[in-house]
Amino acid sequence: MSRAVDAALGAGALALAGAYGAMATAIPVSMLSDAVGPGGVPLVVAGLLAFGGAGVLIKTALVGGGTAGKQPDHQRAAGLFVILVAYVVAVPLLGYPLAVGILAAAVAFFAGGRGIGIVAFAAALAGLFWFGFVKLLGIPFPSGLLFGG
Amino acid sequence: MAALFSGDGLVTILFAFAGCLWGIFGGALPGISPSIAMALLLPFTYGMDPIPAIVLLASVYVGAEYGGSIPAILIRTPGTNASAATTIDGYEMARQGKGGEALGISLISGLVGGLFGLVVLVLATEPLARVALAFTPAAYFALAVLGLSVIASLSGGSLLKGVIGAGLGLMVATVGTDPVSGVPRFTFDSPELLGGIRPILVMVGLFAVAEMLVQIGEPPWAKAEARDTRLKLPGFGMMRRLFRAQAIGCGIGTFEGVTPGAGGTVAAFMAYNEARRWSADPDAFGKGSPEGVAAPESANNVVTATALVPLLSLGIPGSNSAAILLGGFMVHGLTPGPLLFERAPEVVWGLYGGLLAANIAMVLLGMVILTPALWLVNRPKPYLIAAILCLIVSGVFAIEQSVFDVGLVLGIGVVGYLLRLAGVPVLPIVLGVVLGFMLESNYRRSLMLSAGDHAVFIEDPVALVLLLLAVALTAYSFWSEFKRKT
Repeated sequence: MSRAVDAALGAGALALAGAYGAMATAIPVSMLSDAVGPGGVPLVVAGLLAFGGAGVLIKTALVGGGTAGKQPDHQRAAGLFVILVAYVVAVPLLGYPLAVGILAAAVAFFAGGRGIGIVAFAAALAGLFWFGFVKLLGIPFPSGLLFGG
Repeated sequence: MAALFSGDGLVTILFAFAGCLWGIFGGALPGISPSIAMALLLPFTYGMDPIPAIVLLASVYVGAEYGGSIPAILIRTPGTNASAATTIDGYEMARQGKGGEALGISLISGLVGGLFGLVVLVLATEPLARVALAFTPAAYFALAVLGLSVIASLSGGSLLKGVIGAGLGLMVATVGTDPVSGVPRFTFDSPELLGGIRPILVMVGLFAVAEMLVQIGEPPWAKAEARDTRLKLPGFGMMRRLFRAQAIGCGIGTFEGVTPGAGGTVAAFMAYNEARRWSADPDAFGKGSPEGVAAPESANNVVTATALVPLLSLGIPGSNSAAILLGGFMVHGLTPGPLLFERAPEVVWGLYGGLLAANIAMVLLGMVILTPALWLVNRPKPYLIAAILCLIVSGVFAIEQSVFDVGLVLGIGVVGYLLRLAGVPVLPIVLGVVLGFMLESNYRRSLMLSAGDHAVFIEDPVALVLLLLAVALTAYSFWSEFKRKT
């Protein structure tokens, strides 16, 4: 692992521990509370996280980071994440069958699939999932606002 | 046994077959580990009865270990980490035109290992759980601390990163309503977070979504050739020849399975090495030796059962797959550990019966599944990724009919992706999430019973022993990591 990544991890863990610890101390104590209180254990957890973060930082400063392994393609990962977030935003509006079909087509296209096969695949998958989840299992997926809910 | 063949039993057998089938397909796909295959099914177990649900998940693990050996042998690409050792001699056998024979040896050695592991599981778990029945809240707190101390062996070489992972997991476990006072904590005024973050969402995000974010940038998987799809089971003579290698695999798999963090991969490689060491013809290893397939395959299938010993007896998952299975128990309001044998013995025995059925299913399905499994591996990767992601978002929504949960899982997936980049191991996070409640509730209950006196943790002999063990284990881990790097 590279020095910069380890340093970022250590600093991130320290910052998170600080924020989490501050929130833990601000938790109101109820009349029903015990001696430890609702913030007691979270404070210990913040300490544990801070210990790990500080340890990684010190280790990185003293002996450096490890060698960086093969890295995933961050741009493609970010692109996929955007598609998935778009699905979450769109599903209440478009309804489940349409949204899941568009998701299937978008992911397949983004992952390198091409041609009319994508449309057939997406339509088949949307139909299969709609039948399985909504009709067979009876799960009330969003039916969407666009088409009359 | 009679119960297994009752109406409910037949349903259980059906789910054992279904889980095994899913596991074989999942294991055959490079990049889909047994735990990911299990995590994908986890949301669907919500509406099921506990026994079929647990059996379904456990059977996925059994099937995935055989499924992983299919691409390992035929295209030199291990479908699961544990099948990497099988690649060495399995692929050599396939190159010599003995791919079907290698697959047959893998299948039968897996059966031998799976059945042996099941016997160990049945014999070892209940006595261990009976000891734990005498535990007080202080002892349970100490047990949770001991469970967390095993992160050292799960941290893949960086104990400090394991500590960060465990800290993150424990943080997640504190989100929601405080179990003692009822005060909301870390909910950001969101009603969806009042009930806490369910471990299942953390597992699906960390295992499945994070893996898909990595896979989207990876090149396509290698293709398998259709000519390799005829399976040949070993005859009596071959079974006699394989006996020693399988026995070594069973012994090592038992030890590694009950050791938290070791798992099937370590067991398979150790079994391969020991089988070569004790072989009459060690030079044949690496050149297509049947023993080189039998030893790792029996070892990693023993682990599918023996990894459940610490989970069922003490409630501590020692591997990713055991953690997912723990999630399956929690979905149904069941807590693995000593009380499970008192409160829901039928679930434990149902699981044992289901594992037996899953091992038999593995052989029956293994004989006919090769062609469809290879067809699946050869599907274009973009369609597979799209189908898996649609399954994830649909399955997660199905749990509580909550779009918020789907967004939460995606967010956890991104965190998992970033933590993977930083080399933070996943299992300590999961361990923190699942042990967090046990740790906090028993700590605070102990102090309430002792009027706030912390001496309760050293006056209780069981708690004291467990805490000393945790301290010793942690100190040893720090020392050995320091020694290794100096």
